[in-house]
Amino acid sequence: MTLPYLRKEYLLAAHPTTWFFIWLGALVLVPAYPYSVVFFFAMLAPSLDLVYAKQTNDILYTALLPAGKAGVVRGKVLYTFTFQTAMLLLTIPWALLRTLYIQTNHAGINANMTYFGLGLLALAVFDYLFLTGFFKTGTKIGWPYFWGTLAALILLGVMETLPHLPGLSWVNSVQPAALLHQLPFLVVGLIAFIISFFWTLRISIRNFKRVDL
Amino acid sequence: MTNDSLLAVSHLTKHYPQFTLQDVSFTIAPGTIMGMIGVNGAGKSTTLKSIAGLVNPTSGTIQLAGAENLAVMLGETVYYPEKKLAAITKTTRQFYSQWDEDQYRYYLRFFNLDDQKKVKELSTGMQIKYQLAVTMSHHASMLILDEPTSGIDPVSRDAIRQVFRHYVADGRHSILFSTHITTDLAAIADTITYIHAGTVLYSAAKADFIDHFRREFSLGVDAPLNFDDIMIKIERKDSDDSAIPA
Repeated sequence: MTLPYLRKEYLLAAHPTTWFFIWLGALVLVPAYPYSVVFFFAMLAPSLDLVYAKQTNDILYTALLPAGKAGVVRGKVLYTFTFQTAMLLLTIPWALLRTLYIQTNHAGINANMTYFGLGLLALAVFDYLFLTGFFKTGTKIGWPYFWGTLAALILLGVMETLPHLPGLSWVNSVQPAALLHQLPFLVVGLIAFIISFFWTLRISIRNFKRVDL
Repeated sequence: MTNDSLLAVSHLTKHYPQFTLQDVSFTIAPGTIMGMIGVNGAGKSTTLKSIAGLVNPTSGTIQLAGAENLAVMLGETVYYPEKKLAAITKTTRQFYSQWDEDQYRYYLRFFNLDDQKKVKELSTGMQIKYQLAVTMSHHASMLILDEPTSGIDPVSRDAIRQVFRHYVADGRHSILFSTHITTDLAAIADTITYIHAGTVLYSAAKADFIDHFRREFSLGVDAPLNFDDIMIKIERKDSDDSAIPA
């Protein structure tokens, strides 16, 4: 019964800009650009989606479907995580293409393993704070978005700072040997993202069941 | 819940800071239509939303036959205004294993609905008719309808009453609807529940309901009394002209 909720999110509920945001990983092709911004777009899209859901009465519509309020949460959490996963998967080809012709980003970290790993970690923390916070009320988006973005900002700030610390320039490299060293960042980011999905789903369902619509 | 009812609401209570729904109880038998009346803010929507699982009751129980296939329509709530009816239906029907496409197509024709139109292109009445078409197309045992005829012209209301009657005619389905339009109660309700200030004032079969209030108002057995009269006698507040600011 989960798949129909995901399908409903993309066919009925998704904000039209979803289909624009999903391609914004292509920003890693810009020669000098703070690529962390890509993750902020990955956080902005789900928040616009919830604003749109309020306008279209999507939450009420979904709550009246067979799974009730749990179905609302399932749909929104699945939408957020699948959208971000798709966005980052679509970023990988651009990152590889970019590495072929230019290997230094003067405006921030390169789109390498460190970038994807710590970016996933930032998204994992944002999604948990944003969605579990939103589902305490089902209406208020501002504060959950603020706290989620603040936490992500700190993590992405750490990511941008790391290459400038003594002895850590390898975290910014796109050379194959350095990429292997960066692999733990990616593994940690992936594990955090997966754990966040299940925690976010569980806590959000618990929170939203207490809400009166 | 007994075998004689599709819905049994027992001692339903919900506390809000400004309002309390207190000890609401009633049952609905298969093949019947219950009309729920009361003024704005009396507690009708809170009762219906509690049954629909949108509101968490403070106490009480709700027992519903076929709870996994409940059909709820909240009148005048507009969903997905930018989407075509066909797109909404295509998505909605995947949630219901008992979806009946022939039934749905029949209701579209009966209500003169074009499912290639966007929701925002429909009048309020047509939007409600579309929601009814969807709501009645997955063979839900129980239809819960909040103000289904509000804002609808008399001809369309008559059409809606016809489909309601048809829906319960097999004796396996029931409808609970709230309304302010007392002619709907007279036309289609088998039983009536009156909600006043968060409590059930009276709940009975239509004829018994009228008789009860004839006795309450000390009227003769054959004295004319309609639902408007009952509501006005119960709810009327006489204005004090001297208290109105000049």
